[in-house]
Amino acid sequence: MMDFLPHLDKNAAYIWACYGLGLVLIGGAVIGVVLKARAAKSALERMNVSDEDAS
Amino acid sequence: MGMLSAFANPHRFLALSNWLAPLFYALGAVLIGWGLWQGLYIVPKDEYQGGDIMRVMFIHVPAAWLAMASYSAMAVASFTWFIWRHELADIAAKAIAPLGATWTALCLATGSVWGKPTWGTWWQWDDARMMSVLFLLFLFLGYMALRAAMDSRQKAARAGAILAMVGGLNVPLIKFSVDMFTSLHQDSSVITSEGPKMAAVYLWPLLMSGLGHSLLFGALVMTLMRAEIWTRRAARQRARLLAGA
Repeated sequence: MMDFLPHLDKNAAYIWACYGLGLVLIGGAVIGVVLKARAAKSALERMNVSDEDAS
Repeated sequence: MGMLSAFANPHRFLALSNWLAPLFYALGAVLIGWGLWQGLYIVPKDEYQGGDIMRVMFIHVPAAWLAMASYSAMAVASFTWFIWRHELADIAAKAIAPLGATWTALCLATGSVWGKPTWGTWWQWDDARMMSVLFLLFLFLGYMALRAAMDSRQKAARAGAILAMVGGLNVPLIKFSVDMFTSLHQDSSVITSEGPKMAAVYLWPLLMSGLGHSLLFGALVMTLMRAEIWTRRAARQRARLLAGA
């Protein structure tokens, strides 16, 4: 089991901790940015619909 | 100046970033993945650098490069806004700040974890490299807090631009801190006046990983800039609707 993982020396826990931090921080940034962009776009679209209704 | 104005057009930026951002996401992911595969599986461990722990380099060093490069980009965008008042330059500076803070935090966290088995400590308060990077994180956070505290977009842009430009002095301090002051951190081994001191087997995966992080960062900045443009357009529409009501 887990044979696909590289065999690292006694400092393996530190190495995995660093890559885990990278995954969490960069992955979190990607998810946060994409969600923010989607929310901004749909807010603008809702506003455009309101604008059309008003005019 | 004419070319700068052409690129500073939000319509043109939205059209350009519509295909450029997905391309950067894809290329960035491929290069980061390749760098991780090389770093974890392929490159030989370096006993002189403490064995396998040097594999942390493939995430720590790109994070450090991005931390400094992103602050420099934020300072340049702020300067551009300050002189020419291009709205897109302010939008770019605002978009860079949270992402720059993320990569700076990653640099600090991975550096700390790398430091424990290498130097026997998580942190050294009188170390010039560590403290100047921590100060960089505070500059990013301070920039965001300062903007958020202002009651108008113009005031936020002006105050943020001044802080970003003044804080730019910290970037060369970070780069040369290991040469000018006593530090646990090793000297520069990639960007030096004599060229890279690192063996090619480590250098190429590191450079590709750095390029991958840069492309991903660029894609994220473009996405945040698009979000900010849409937000500002929605605010203008809302104001127009309210004025017409």
